[in-house]
This record gives sequence, C-alpha cells and structure tokens, in this order.
Amino acid sequence: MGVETSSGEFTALKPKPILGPAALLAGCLLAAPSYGAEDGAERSLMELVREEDERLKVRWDLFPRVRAGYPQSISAGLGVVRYRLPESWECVTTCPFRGLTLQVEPGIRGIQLSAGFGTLVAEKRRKARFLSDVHLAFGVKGVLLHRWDSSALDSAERTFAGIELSHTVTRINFSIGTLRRLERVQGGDWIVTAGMGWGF
Amino acid sequence: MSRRVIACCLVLALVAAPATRALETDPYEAWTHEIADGTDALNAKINYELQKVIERVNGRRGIRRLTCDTVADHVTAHFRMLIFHPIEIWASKSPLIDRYPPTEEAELQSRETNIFGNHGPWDIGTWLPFGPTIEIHGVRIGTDKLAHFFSGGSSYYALYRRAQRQGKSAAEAERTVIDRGIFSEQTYLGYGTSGVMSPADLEANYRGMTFYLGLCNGDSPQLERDGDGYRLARSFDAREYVTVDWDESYNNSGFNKRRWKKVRPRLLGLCALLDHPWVVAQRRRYRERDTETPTELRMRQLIDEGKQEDLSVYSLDATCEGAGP
Repeated sequence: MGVETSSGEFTALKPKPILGPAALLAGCLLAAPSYGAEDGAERSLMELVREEDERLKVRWDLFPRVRAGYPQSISAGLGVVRYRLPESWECVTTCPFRGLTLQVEPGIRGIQLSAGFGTLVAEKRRKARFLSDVHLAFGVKGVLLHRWDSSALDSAERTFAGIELSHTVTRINFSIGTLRRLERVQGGDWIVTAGMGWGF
Repeated sequence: MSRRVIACCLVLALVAAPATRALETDPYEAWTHEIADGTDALNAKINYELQKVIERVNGRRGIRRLTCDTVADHVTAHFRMLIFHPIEIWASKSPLIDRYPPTEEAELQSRETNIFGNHGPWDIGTWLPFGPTIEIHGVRIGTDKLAHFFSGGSSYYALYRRAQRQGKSAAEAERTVIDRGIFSEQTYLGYGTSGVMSPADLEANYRGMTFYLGLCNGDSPQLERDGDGYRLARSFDAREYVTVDWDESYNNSGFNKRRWKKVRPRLLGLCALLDHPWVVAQRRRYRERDTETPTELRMRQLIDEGKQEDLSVYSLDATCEGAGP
C-alpha cells in the first residue's frame, strides 16, 4: 500500500522536479511506520506460532479396544498413549495424539500385552482422560501373548512374542501380527494373528 | 480359521478406508455470526512451517545437488497427510485463529444441528467430525479447505508434472488434473463416500497446485537458492489463493439422493436467512470479487455435454424456491 501511494504521488508531481524528491521522501517517511508495524505484527504472530509449536505439554490418556480375532477370540483392552500437544488444546474434538503406547488386552483365549508407537487422531468428547472416539490411527506394537486355548487339538498353555500392526479408520480397528512361540518345541513355532473391532 | 479372519479383515479395511477420505463442513452455520479474519495468523503458521521444512532440507547432506523441484517435494510431503491434516487440525484448535462454532463444546453440539446432522447410526460418511468455519481474506471457508489446498493440491501438482513429463502442454496438463479432480468428486471422494460433491473443494485443490507450482516456477518463484541451500524468496500469502469459490454457501455442493433426502429439510429451515442483511451484504461482496475459474469453466463444459449434473439445483436459493431436485 505504502509503495503504491508513494509511487503514485511521485508520478503525479513529476513535472515539478523540486517537489518530486521531497514528495518521495515524504512518501517514504509516511510509508515506513506502516511497514514497520506490519512487519512487527507478522513477527509477533510468528513468535506466537513458534511458541505454540514448541511449548508442548506431555500428557497420558487412555484408549479402548474391543475386538474379535485369532487367537484370542473376543477380547477387550485398555491402553495408554503418551503424547505432547500445545497446552491450550483441550481435545474435546479431534486432536492428533502421537507417541508411546502401552496396552493390556485380556480375551477369552488369552491375554496380550503390547508396547509400541502409535499415531491416533481422536477426540475425548466430554471425558477428561479417555479417547472415546478414535477416527484414524496407525500403530506398530511389540506383543507378548499368553494363550490358554483349550481346543481338542492343542490344549497346552503357550506364550508368544512378536509384532502387531494396528490400523483404525472411523473407529473400526484392523490388526494383523506375526508372533513366535517362546517355548522351544518342534514345529508350529509361528502364528499369524488378526482381528477386527472397535477402538485402537 | 486364521486365514479366513485375515482375509476378512483385509477386505473390510480396503472397503472402509476410502469412505473416510473426505471431511465435510456446514457452510451456513456461521452465517450472521462474527468471525475475525484469520489471514495473518494462517500466513504466519504456513510461513513458519515452510521455514521448518527449508531448514530441515538445508541441513541435509548433498543439499548443493538438490534441485528446487526436490525441495518442493519435501514441502509437499510436509503438508500432506491422510484425512486429518495438521494444518486443518491447527486451524480447528489454535487460539490464534477465530472460528465458528467458537468452542469445542459448541462444535460437538453443532454435529447434531448442522445440515448433515440428520443421519442414521450406520451412516459412516458422518462418523467423522465436521470442519468448523474460519474467515480468510474475507471469505468464509471450512477448515477442510486447507486440507484440500495442501493435500488435494499436492495430488494435482504430482499429476500435472506427470502429464507434462508425458509431453502434454500446460493447458492439457491443467485439463487433465481438473478432470481427475471432478471424477474423484463424482466417485470415490465425493458422491461415492460422503454423498457430497463439492466444487469448492476442487477450487482449493487447484489453488494448492498453483502454490506448489509457484515454489520453483513462474516469474517470481517462492523458493530460491541461497548459498548451498534454499530460502523463501517471498512469504506465503493466503490472499493470493483464497477465492470466494472456496465458500460452499456461495459455490454450493451437490448431493446424492440418499444425502439430499436428509440435507434438504435442513436447508429449507435456513430459507429465512437469505433475506438477512448480513447474508445479502456477503453475497454482494462475493459477486464483486467473483471471476470464472478454470474448474468452473470445465464444469460448465461437462454440464453442457451432459456429463455432469448442474449443481446449482442444490443451492439454498433453488431449494427455497422449490426448484431443487
């Protein structure tokens, strides 16, 4: 704006050479404070944006999962995610929660413990420490599964360890994993796990 | 047993995923409510993020050999995300930018009262949250437009560059991306998922592409060499990109039959607002700034050819006059 104004004045006064430079100088002097103020405002906003981005608060919140799958059959889990977000974000509605996750998930045919890294886009609604709606999430977890299956073919209690990939979209969770049996036995060392449910 | 479970999960994952690639917004709910213009705050945020990417890229080994296009690819990757975009979430959360609904609690309540609030429990398209409204450069936009600008824009940009590598002219490449965008709204990102086709989303996609193209091309590229690295030659300014066609209350969406049946009664409840001085003044301001965009031009061609439904029948004016479908 200031440039346009000063350039306009200069052009208009061009036939009078003495007034020209004076008008240009006046224009520059008038323009200078406004540029300074704009620049200052921009700088302060940038500072606020930087502060918001850098001054994060570490928090822990709980998240649920209920699923049907193999080998646990039906299971219900509770997890916790450690994340950092700007202090002012309440997350009643959608927030991104990214960080370490820990989860325990007992089921009909076994119990699973897991630790890993997850990114959840979720909201708490009116619950203070609980992510009630997980809209989208990705996670990779190290898993320890103790199975107390009592099928006719295979009745022994067994413990497995491995990894699981978990993906939630519109609250529907899909998980797939591969686990190796910890006890040293011949054959049947590896199993593939899979499940579908609600939560993360 | 386990194979069947795995196969079932994979199929369901594939089916569910595309159903969520579109967030919607109610463009009318903020009518008559004051929202402070957030252009400066948005510019500051985007310039801050651009600086972060450039600093990160400049810190890489071999930066001297990196072309501007590669740096632009890093910028693209920084802003691009699946469904929920950081810039969109920031605009919905940050105290630096004004919005409507004004609080998170009000946002929860508006999910019941907005034009998409009438839906059944298994309507997956409405399971996701809705983008609140912000004002940028005097234009009311849903925060979802920022996602379209950066993410949809990056898809357009990639497609445009591929088309040019295949030997297409600038005009042909532009038409290719616009056609792809229209097709996506007609199918897997619009009617096929949320049941909404949004030309305003396409406008934001297109402008996003021009932003990415402007990073290294044109008379005044945004990125320039600075010693061994790169720097921003000029700051990002949303005023260069945001147009009145980003406002879905002005550049209205279309709906599939299922969604229209639910949305129409809610729109009829808004008819009285059409004569409100605030709405009249906003529309007058919009008309003064309105110009025909490449997307509008192409949409009109497709309508004339009978390949695209005329979405003006879903406008609030047409609905209130009883001229809707």
